[in-house]
Formats: sequence, structure tokens, C-alpha cells
Amino acid sequence: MKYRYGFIAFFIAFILQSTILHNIALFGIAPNLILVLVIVFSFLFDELHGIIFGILFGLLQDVFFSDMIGMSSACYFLIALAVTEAKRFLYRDNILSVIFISAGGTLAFNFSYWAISRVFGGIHQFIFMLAKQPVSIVYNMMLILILYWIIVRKVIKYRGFKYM
Amino acid sequence: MRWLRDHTKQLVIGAIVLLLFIVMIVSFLNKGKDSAIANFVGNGIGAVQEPVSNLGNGIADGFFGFFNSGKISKENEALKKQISDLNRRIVNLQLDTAELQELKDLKDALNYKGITVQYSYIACDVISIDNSNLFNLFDINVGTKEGVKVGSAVLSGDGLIGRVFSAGEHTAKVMSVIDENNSVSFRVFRDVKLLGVLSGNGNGGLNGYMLDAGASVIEGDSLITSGLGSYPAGITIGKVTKAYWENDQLLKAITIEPSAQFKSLQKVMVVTPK
Repeated sequence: MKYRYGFIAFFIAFILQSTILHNIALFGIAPNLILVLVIVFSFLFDELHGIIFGILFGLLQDVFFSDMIGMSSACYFLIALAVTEAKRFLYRDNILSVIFISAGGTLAFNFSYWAISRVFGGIHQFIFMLAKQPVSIVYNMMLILILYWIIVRKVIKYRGFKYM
Repeated sequence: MRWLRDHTKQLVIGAIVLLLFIVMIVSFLNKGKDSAIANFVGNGIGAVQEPVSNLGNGIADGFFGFFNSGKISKENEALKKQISDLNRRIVNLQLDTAELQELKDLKDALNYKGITVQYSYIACDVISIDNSNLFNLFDINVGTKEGVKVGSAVLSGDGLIGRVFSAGEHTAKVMSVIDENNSVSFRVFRDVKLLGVLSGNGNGGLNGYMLDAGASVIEGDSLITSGLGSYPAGITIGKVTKAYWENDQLLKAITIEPSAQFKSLQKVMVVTPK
């Protein structure tokens, strides 16, 4: 995928995320579209879309919402890196791999974000963060599976072929 | 040199992580100061976010309104009753105002110098909301050009929301009162002589304590800002859900449920001292 298409996808996700998505929040929790794209792009594409746009849009997110720049950016970067590495051990055309990656990615992002915010004086407790995880994981997983289903056909031509 | 060539990937990763942590530390040390780049980016993307946000809110209102027509008509009836009740109160308040004017005249006659802070109120729209699911931070479409200052109080129709923690020219960032441990001074609405201090408890709520250990605060009491500190007096904060004696600190502690709905904000008001 060309980088300009990746940029457009991330930009649209950022705008939707910050303006509309809170309207579909469940128990005050909305899906994280940027994280969804970081996971999907890092898992499905061989280029560095997930890492580059994760850092870039993480910085943008911090400029807008955080009192500290670099927090989201560092978390997206680490998740993109972990997913890119995990690709070596997981089959991209296996749905279970996607489920595992989306649950693990969401949990790791939320935990690292909470941990960094705590280091810099955040007051939120671990239990409070943990209680939000089930809805957050399910929401992100749904979106990742939808995106995966749309994109995977273009990325992997011969899905399920044993002798690739 | 060969070692460097063999470990290029690790070095690049390490450099990025290090750079991001330096950025974090620098921005942590300069909290509340808006940089020119952040201001420029904020104004540019804010121009895109505002119409999209208005469109999204309009669609959501229409969609939920369609399914909630029964509830809305009941709410309408309740509001009509509330209006007639408020009209009665206005009459009483007008009488009180006349009495207050007499007292002010008396104060002037005695040449009494009090501390009276005048506030200006700026109504604005929420243009974007944080998506971390941890904090309740949002951006508003007014900034320093419209008179917003860092530290200005922000409230909604339901009550206190928080304060402005960073202000650009035409946008400002707001942090909710439940997300930080900055203390807010309050009074109990039932008995305004009862004073206390509260702050975020890290669980999406507020905890506080009474200045007088023997204060008769009870569950269900409404709390308002006292006017001591940066928040103006009289803003609704929330209701006491639990009042108990804290043995370790020998204090009367309370747990408060905030009256404002932080996740469904569309319009807020910024209160700044003139």
C-alpha cells in the first residue's frame, strides 16, 4: 500500500475518533481507531505504515488532548513494533492470529498508556484501567476483524494454501 | 563499524524510544505552555474537527431522539413544571435583590472594602474529545483571543467540569476535575457553613474531606464550589454518596458522584476572572 493512502486512512480515523466516535461509546468507552489501524497495518503489510503513522498520529493526538506530548506516540510505536515482530510467529491468514493480536495489542496499549501516565503523575488506579479492558478489547476486535476481512484478500492472494 | 551495521535496526528503535521519552520529559516540564507548533496544528485541524463534530452530534441527536420520543415528551412535561417553579422563585429572588441592594447601599455608606471578583462567561462548543478511555480531556472552540486563560473554570448545564490547562489562540484544552488531584474547595449546599476539600480519586469519581471533623455532612448532600481557590463560588459539583470517619487521618471523609456527564458534552461555558 502506498504511504499516501496510509496517511489518508489515518487522518480520517483521527478526525472520526476525536469528533464522532464518542457518540457510540458503550459504558463511556469508545473504540480506538488509530490503534486499530496501527495493529492492522503492522500485521498485514510488510511496509512500515503502522510504525510511521503510529508515531505521527500519536504525536498529533497528544498535541490535541494530552498535557504531555509523546505518550500516545510511544505507546503506538511499541505496539506497532511488537505486532511487526509477532508476524514472524503467527500466520497472517489465520483468524485466531488476528483475534490474539487485537486483544493483546489493545491490552498492551492501554496498559502502557496507563503506566506512562502514572509515572508522570497520573492519578488513575490500575483497577479502574483494568475494568475498562473487556469493552475496549471487544470494540477494537470487532473493528479489526472488519478491516482484516476487507484488506486480507488484497494482501494475501492464496489464503489457506499450505505450501506458501 | 561492523557492529553498528549489524545492529542498525536495534539502534534506530532505541533512538526513537529515547527521542520520544525526551519529548515526554520536556513537555512534562513545560506543562500548560502552548508551543507555536501545537497552536498552528490545533488551529488547522480544529477547523476540520468543528464541522465534523457538529455533524456527528446532529446525527446522534436525531438518531437517539427518534428512538426516545416518549422519553422526550415526559421530559418536556417535567421541564414545563420546572419552568413554572423557577418563575415563582424569580419573584422571590427579585424581592431578595431589592433587600440586597439596600445592604450594598449600607456597605457603601460605611465605606467597606470587600473582595469582589467579576467574571466573564464564554459559551462554546466541544470540538473534539480524547479517545484514551482513561482521561476525560476535550478541546473547545475558544482560546486566548476570546478571553480564555489557563486555569479558567469550565462548567456545563449539569455542573463543574474542570479547568482549562492549555490555551491556544482559538482553541483550548480542558481537563476534567475527576482526572487530576488538584484540590477543589467546596461548601455543602444544605448548610453553607460546612467547608471541605475534594479531588479526583483515580476511579472516575471524587473523594474529599471536611475541614471540620465534626461536620454533619450526610449522604445525598449537594456540594457547590466555595469560591476559595481558582473556581468561582456556587457551581454545582455533585452529590455525596458516602460519608464516613477516616480513622487513619482523623477526618470526616466523603465520596462524591459528580453531577456532570463528562462523556456526552457538546456545549460548555468558560468562566474567567475579568
